[in-house]
Amino acid sequence: MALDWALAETMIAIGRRPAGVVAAADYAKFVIEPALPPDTADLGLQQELNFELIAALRPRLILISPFLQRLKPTLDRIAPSLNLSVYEVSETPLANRIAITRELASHVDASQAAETYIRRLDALRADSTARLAKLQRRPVLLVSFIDNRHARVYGGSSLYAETLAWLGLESAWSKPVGNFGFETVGLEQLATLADVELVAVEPVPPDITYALSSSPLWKELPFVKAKREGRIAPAFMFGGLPSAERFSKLLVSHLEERWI
Amino acid sequence: MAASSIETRFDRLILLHATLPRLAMAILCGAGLAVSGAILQQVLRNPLVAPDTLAVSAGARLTLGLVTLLAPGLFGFGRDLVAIVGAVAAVALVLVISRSRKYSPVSMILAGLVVSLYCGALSIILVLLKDRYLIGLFIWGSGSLSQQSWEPAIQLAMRLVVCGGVLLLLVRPLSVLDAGEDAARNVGVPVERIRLLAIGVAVLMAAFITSTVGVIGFIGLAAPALATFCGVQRFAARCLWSAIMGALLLLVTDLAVQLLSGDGAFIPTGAVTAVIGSPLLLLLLSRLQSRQPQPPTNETLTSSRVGQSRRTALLLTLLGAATLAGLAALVMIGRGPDGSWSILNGEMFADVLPWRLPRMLATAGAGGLLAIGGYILQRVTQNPLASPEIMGVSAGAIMGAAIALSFAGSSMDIGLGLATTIGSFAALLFVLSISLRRSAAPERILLAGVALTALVDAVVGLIIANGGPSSVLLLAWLAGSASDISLPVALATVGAAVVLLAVGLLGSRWLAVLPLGASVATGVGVRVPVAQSALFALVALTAAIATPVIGPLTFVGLMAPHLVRLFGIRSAPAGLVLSALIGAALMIIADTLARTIAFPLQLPTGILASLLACPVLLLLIAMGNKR
Repeated sequence: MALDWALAETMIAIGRRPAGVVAAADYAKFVIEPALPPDTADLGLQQELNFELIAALRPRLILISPFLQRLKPTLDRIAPSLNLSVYEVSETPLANRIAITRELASHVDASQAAETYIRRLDALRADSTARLAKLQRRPVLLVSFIDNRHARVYGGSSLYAETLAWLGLESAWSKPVGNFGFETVGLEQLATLADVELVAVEPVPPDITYALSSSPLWKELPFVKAKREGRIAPAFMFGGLPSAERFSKLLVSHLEERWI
Repeated sequence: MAASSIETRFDRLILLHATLPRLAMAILCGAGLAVSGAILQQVLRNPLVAPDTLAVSAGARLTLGLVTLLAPGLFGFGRDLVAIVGAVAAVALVLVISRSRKYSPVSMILAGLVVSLYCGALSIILVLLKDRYLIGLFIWGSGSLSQQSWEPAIQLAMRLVVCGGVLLLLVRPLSVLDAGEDAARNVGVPVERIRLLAIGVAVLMAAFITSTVGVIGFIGLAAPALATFCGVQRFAARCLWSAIMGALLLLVTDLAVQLLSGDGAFIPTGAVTAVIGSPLLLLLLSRLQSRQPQPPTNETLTSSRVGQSRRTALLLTLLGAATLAGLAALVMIGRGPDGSWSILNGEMFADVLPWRLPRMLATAGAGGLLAIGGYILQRVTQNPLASPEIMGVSAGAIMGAAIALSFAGSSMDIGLGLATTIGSFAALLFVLSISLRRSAAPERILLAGVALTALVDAVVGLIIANGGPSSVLLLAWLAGSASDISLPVALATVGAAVVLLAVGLLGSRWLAVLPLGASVATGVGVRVPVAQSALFALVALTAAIATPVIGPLTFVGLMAPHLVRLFGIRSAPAGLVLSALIGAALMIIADTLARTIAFPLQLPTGILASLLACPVLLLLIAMGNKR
């Protein structure tokens, strides 16, 4: 069973069913694809694991993230636990995730499936870059709106930004970002960016649309004036390869609509 | 050439639509909060009240959070309405609670803190349950002034002007209050109505500001205090100068924040003002003259009846112990993997009990500890709102955990426990040093705790506003998660509770004598400072042991002693034992509910305890009014 969404989705991608997943109810809202098998047990909140339920399910292997590392000795009393991290600060988050996928596969006897899956991603990349090459391209500014005055911009080693680079696109945010690859900024700080395409990752708070439409500064932003802004459906920021796959598919089809 | 012209154009746009409105907003909010604080201080004759210490901001934050989750489409007046409802409810609650203490400054602040903490607890459970990434609530909660149009500033200005108009009509009658209530009545001022109206205006102003920019800490407290400090006497002048000081304070802070943060980390201004403001609260405390010891109440003067009630006390204690033992059987009841209620049977026993038993023992032990601390504290300070949660020791523990989590990030196996303990003891030393220097005036110690708690709240807000998964962990810790406690830790907690109860019983003579007043106590040969310091050290120890187990937000230490009083127990030893038993029993109930009500989700025990305890507590206090 998987106590981390990134590892849960990776398991499903290589054809293994987790017996239980943490916060399974929210998984459908944030990760979306690949969907959990309907009989997957909900193991409680990540911050408040339902230990007695985990124990009662008698798992073979427990997959954890570094945030649960402090609980490893506790979980080991139930079944051997394996800590695989997608959260590590790294220059190459995608390569890390490939390595994680392989290691995870070796523990659940799915190495063959993992290699197939990784080859499928390579094919996806070749296809996507070919499709993007036909378009008029410009740097992409990846954000998610937090409230009506703040946004997170993604850059550096975030999964989003690295997937962007993986697709051969340029990120518009070159300023430093926090450890997890994003930075919280006031919207006015985006004003200095000229020839970029803004892509907001959902969920967008409902009052944002109103607040933005009433903001002169927002309306004066070059990418807003030129109508170079749009939104894509949610993809999990702290996900594994499947989330990167979902994000790149969403992004490519979004950009194809924008950059005709 | 072309590129640079675009840049100058945008520099101008930023100046026009971001920088200037931000300046205006800082001035508006600073002035508005300061005037609101000045009015409240005038009306309530209390130099320590302000929108934040009366829980206005906390109430508004909670209702806005609720609405963000339930009906997220609201903006403009809808948002304001929500904030106002929350703010008014919180203030009304504070006033009701402190009425039984005749609105004394200290009791009002403490009531405000309890209500703020409760609102905070509810906000935390909202975030934990409803949305893992509801970071917006926290940014807003820490008060960021960042603007991107004039609209919010203009809207706010219009609202504040209306409030200001009403205020102009109130200035004269309110100024008369300086001469005393009776004098005011004699010249025909309807004191009660004017007061209510003035409080209403002040709360409205604060609620408007809170709904627009979030919680800006301490301006409403600091600005009027500065005005008074500078020797401004008349009320009208104090309002004016408070407004000027408030505007300046917030403006300077905000500019400093913008300069310092630059391209780097995101810093909400409101949290910074709170960090700066907390020491100011402490400074104000040292200038506040000590409250006269209250005349001993009937409750404490019935030592002659102690002999009579001893048998009842013994009986009740036995009854309490029996109930606790009965409740312990709840460990057998739970829900199976399919969600059905079940009693543990042979097959599941070995799987499930090792997880259920330790958390029940540990939370019961911790509840007992906090109840011991709370009983001692309430007994010594004669303040029914005193408890370890409020003494600042828990706040110290949070600070330790927050620092450990934000610096050590994800690699914090033992670090967290260590940091928590260090934090508790640092807070303990701090509070004790104040108590020793100031001849241990009990309310001063509590207020030092209040200031610490406010400071910690601001720092936690800062950390969480900057996001990252470790902030979610911090939230969980605040909520009081007891799910992963091992049996040895649980047994140690129970052991500590028993040992400290025994130590407390050794000091029960002090507990019996101290409430009678320093002169009486000295008269029967008790060295008051020694006795008080020893008892406070014991309290801090209970909180330092219990907080890492069930988090800082349970109100068990506050509630158990109240229940003891309700049972009519007056003898100190019996009260102490019974308080500990009640504390443990409350936590067992809370833990059982936390395990089961939201299955398969388990809730943090600490938060659940506070959700249970608070309404009962408020009811008890309201009943106390009638007596």
